[in-house]
Amino acid sequence: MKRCNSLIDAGRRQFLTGAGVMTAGAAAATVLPAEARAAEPTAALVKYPANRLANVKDLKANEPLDVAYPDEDAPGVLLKLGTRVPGGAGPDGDIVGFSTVCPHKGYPLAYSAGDKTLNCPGHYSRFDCEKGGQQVWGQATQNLPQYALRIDDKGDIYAEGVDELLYGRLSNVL
Amino acid sequence: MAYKRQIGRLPIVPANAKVHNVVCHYCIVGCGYKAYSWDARYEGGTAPADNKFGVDLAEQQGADTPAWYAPSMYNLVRQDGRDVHIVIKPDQDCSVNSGLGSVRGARIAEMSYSRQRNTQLQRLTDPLVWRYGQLQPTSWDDALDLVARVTAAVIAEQGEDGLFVSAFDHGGAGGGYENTWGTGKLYFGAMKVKNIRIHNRPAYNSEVHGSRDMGVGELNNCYEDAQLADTIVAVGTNALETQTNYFLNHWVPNLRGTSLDKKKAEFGDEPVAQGRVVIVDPRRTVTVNACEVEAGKENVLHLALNSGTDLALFNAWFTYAAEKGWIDKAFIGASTKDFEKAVAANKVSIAEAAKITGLSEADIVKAITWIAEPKAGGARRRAMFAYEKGLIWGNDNYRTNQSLVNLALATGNIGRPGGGCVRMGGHQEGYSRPSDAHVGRPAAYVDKLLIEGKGGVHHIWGCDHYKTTLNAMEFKRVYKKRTDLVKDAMNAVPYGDRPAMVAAIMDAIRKGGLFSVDVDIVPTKVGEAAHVMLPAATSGEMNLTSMNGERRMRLTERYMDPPGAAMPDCLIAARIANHMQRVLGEMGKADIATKFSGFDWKTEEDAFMDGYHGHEKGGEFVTYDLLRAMGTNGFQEPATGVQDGKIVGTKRLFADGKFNKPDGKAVFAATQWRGLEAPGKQAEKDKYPFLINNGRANLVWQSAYLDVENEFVMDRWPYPFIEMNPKDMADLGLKNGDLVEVYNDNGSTQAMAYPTPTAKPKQAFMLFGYPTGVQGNVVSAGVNEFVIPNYKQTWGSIRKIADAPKSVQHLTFKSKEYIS
Repeated sequence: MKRCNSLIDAGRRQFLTGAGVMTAGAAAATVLPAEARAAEPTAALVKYPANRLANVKDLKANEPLDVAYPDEDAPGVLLKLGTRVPGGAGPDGDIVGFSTVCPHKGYPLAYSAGDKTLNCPGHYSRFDCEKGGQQVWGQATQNLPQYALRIDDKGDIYAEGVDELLYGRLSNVL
Repeated sequence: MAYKRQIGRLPIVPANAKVHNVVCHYCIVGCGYKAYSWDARYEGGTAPADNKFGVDLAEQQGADTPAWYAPSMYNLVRQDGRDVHIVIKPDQDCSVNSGLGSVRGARIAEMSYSRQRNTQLQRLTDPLVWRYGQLQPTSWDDALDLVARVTAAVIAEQGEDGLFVSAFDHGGAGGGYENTWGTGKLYFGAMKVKNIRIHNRPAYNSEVHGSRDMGVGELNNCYEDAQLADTIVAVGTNALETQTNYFLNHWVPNLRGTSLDKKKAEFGDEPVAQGRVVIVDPRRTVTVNACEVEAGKENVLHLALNSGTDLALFNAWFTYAAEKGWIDKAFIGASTKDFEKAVAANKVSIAEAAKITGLSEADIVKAITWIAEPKAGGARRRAMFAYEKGLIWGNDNYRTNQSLVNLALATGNIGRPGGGCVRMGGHQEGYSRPSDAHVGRPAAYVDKLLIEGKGGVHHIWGCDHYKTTLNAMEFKRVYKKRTDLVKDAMNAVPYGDRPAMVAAIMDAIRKGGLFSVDVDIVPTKVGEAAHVMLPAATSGEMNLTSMNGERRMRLTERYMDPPGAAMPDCLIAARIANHMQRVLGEMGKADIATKFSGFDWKTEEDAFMDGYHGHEKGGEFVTYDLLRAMGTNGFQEPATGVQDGKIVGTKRLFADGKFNKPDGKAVFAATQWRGLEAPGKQAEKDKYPFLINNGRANLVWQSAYLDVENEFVMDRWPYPFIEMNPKDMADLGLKNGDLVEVYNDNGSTQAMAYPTPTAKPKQAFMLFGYPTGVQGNVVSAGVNEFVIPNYKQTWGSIRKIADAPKSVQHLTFKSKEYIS
């Protein structure tokens, strides 16, 4: 498994040096107005930050954009799939965001533009970005954590939650 | 949308959590896990001192960390009558899986009975009896009294042949030494039941008679051999899906070349290289893909032969190796018999084999070259032969099995490092029973006898014929009719009048009825026919011992309470024996009653000491205490002694060149090719357009009985998939996920169309043994000479039934193959 260990390291380095990554702190200061916050329901065990990840203009069809959510240690990806999908955000309903850490053993997933899947080099798990991150085949006992996205009228894309536990942390928000 | 749990946080395992040894009870690999449990009111903290892992959990953990668990590894259960949190996660220190969790084993916790979190509420909690037209709860004594009275009455009228039994005979959740002994002592000790069958086949027989008759026990190597082999020969085994962590943790290092240091250390100056693999399978599986990814296509040879023609291929390899002199003459001379006879009898040329198998001559020669050509300097090439259901449930089981063992013996590959000729297996093993010699060979074809109206009472232990037998549609039709006769008779009598009830049941039995007693942990499909259901405990709700595919024996400790009144199977068997003794005494049959003595066990450990410890080879060295101390690594059977408080085991069988024959010599077998051997198969092939190949899938391998109540699994496979070539789908007007009917003269069933570009035209592959579409419905009753079913060679037609239903519409239908 040596090869895979070095892969995760490589994946991390790439992510940490990648552009377009907002930190949790930077985003948290600029979110919702006070009255909206008052109406906010109580968080379910975990209070997720609303982080700006990118602007729709940063996205090109079927090209993954490296992001991180809910903090810089949790790499992920934003995708403009080019076709409307269930759970897709944006004017075309085709923008989705996922964790890119395999929920099986924590290896970095690679995007296959050919069939719009995220693939794990560790143990061959595959997740379908067009189907809510459903595991096509693999070892993980959960489908791929997907971001709850909101896009404001300026086209800024915010992540505001994750629908599964992220690998390597027992609380999605550390 | 795909199913999501919406869990963003899990309770932290505190530093003082209890730890129990767990071996996954689903498949034969037997991966090591640990169960951590602690009081429901508390949890640990993120500071290193506050959690079991001693690390800062406020930080992101890296890949392969032992300090993380998925939501599926967590639950809230009862332990000694109290609510506890439980985390069951893979054990880093187990040599089998080294911390890897499969998609099944990593759900052990989530697939436990929890009223607190509503998981597996399907579990049986009370004995159930047919009362007022439905199954109703009752006490153990009441249920067992009814079972004993009807069983004793049937035996009094029909003899012991009137008692039919279907029983698990494996390990893990498919038995375990305690439970096979409990049932074995009841049916083969107190009684001599002949009409008995095993959980997934219609008779009481070995699936590998062929290998055993040659003196070669089928689990003869160790998992490390897959790291040491020059070439792995995989026959009808899709190891990535059905031996997942054995494949990932032991095959892959060899294919990647990362086990080279291990090879050098073991073999000294002998030339060694990255491993190669020959895969014999009509279908391109995810295993083939993974092998190509790891070893490079140049080191993988997938032989997609015509279905059922393996025997001709192996005979050709054997002939070629003998002609070339690529054999181990010293070994053949010292440890075997009848080599020359086999060479003469099994002669098949490469050209003949190519014609029969549909493979190219060049590929057949390339494969045997990879397997047997001596290495530089003349060193023997080390080949490991691994086979499973493609061979075992394939054409001409007995001879095909033997022809592969012939090749392994001739090339000196049994009992040697980097070798072995092994079945890959399904469940763990855990067989300990009194002699079954009275069953005879061929064993009774029990399903057929039941269909013919034989027998009066049927005891079922952890079997579900409606789902996992051949000719299943006909079996179900007749079985329902026969058990309904008894139900109708019971409906006409007040339940509280026991003599009248037994008389009514017996009267119905005389008219062709059948009284059905089903012992299981869940309400099975065949349980729909039962008159009595008895709730059993499963692994972890009882202490349970088993061995895996390299004979590695471990103890899974009891870490939670069984649901309600459920009991270990061995104790249910003992209580049945107690009641039989009482009832037979009351009937004035003291001589028979006395045979039901020796069942005064109070615990599963009592059954273990009476059975495995008292009767099995090396069992005298094995106790619960010693096993507990040896954790998830245990020892490899047979035990040969105890040293420094540890059981000493056996790494490989036959390492001394002595085999299981009176003179210690393995016997080569004559294995002539005879076409499709089981009656009716050739005619079926000629009549129907599609091969309905069938087998297992990663997500539900040996766990489907619980998966039916697992949201994550049922979201992915609401119906069994049938992989089809896209052009075949287009010809039939099928879209992704449409429900199709698969049918032939044996019956019909349904599946969900899954487009698979790598599927050969007119060769479909359907998920086997699935509750929402039973593949066995279309498998003919044809078996081999020892009543081994031939599931794989099935032909049928396919037609559309319906558009993809709602539960299917959100599914992905992309290729299962990893893309690098």
